[in-house]
Amino acid sequence: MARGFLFLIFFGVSVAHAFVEKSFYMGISYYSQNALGKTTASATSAPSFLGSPNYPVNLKYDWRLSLDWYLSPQLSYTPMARSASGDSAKVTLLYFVLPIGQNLGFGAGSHWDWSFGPGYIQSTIKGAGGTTVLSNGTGTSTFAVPGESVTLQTISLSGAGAYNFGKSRIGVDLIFEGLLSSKRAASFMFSYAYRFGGGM
Amino acid sequence: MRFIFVTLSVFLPNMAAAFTLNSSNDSLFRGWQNSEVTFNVNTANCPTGMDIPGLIEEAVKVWNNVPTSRVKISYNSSTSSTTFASPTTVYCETNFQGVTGADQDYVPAAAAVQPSGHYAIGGLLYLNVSGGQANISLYDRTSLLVIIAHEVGHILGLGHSQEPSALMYYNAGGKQHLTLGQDDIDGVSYLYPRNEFNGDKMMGCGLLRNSSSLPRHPSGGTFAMLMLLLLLPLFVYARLRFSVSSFIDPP
Repeated sequence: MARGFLFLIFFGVSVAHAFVEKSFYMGISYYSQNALGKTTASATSAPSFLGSPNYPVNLKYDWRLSLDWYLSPQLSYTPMARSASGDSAKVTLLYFVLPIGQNLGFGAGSHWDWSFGPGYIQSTIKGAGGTTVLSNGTGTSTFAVPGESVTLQTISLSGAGAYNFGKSRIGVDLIFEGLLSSKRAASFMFSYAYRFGGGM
Repeated sequence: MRFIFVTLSVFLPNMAAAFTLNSSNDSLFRGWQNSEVTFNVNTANCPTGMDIPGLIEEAVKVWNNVPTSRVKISYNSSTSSTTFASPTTVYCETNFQGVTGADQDYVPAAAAVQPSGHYAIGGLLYLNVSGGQANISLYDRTSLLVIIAHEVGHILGLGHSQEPSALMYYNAGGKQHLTLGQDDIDGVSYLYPRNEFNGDKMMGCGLLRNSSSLPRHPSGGTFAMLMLLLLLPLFVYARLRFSVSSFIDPP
């Protein structure tokens, strides 16, 4: 009983908890796809720390599972597609993650949480069709522009941490695709969300 | 507000550019129907000591490692062919300019595919071993890998990109690393999309084991693995709840 009381003092009586039972969040993110050297953004092809930028809108909901653990599904979608120059192709991203997370509540001043779980990533590449003329080194050539819409679906694993203040939440997710092969790639998602409703 | 503008100025310039297809007029061109693309190498006129099959095997890794593409590229065997074929023929051409029409002082390699319908049915990759200044023996290993990976991109069905960071940018001269741009990743994912709910292995498991000499990874577990992943949080929750209950109300 005494141990249980101490547990409640340390974990249960925090004033500012990150996950909040039955709370709904909405926000925006910077999703850096294929980061940590998977791609390059320079003409020398030097690997880049950041990947390709996407700007999804996030929706998130918290369910309490136990004293301080939560199930917190989150849906992210890019309403503005990542646009190719000349608008010849557009890439949209949908990311759904079903993490389990814990508040790191070591007292009233703690606002941190962490989570991990599986996710689903769906990208759609939609080409505009037609042709374009590009250099081939010694002259120019005509190349066809992709004209179809293609959907890519992968499963991911992610770990995340967040800082909460007031009704705001700033988080960072590290998302792995192709985790069990040499295709492995990591993406970052930096997010800001505002909490609507929910109890303490 | 200034923080927002500074942040956007850091992130926004990193935009993708448009990949194109290795066809002059077919916007519905889809590369090879089979996503396992292989190469046969004719080393007859190649520089002594240059391991062309080894270079190809190393160069194709960058394409094989795209997480959103199912493509699997590999060296198949030696050949004596110098014509379009499937697997794609790779050979060293002494009359590079005469055969390809490309400037032998500027272009170290060239590639073309033979289309049928919206698919490629044959491929041919020429390596320049002429008397010109772009003879492949004059390039260092990193440059050769970049050149070969670029030509493999053409064989896969990609055209040039207008994005200087892309491997498929027409000029590989400034590239010091073999790395794909997001534009290349978009391109190969468009041609060979990965769908882990329709036959492709979950999280890449076993995807690169395409050689018959290698043991195949157990297959058919996609659905089971998906269920395992979805149930993982509940499993962890159950363990934690048991632990917490024991902790709060010890027997």
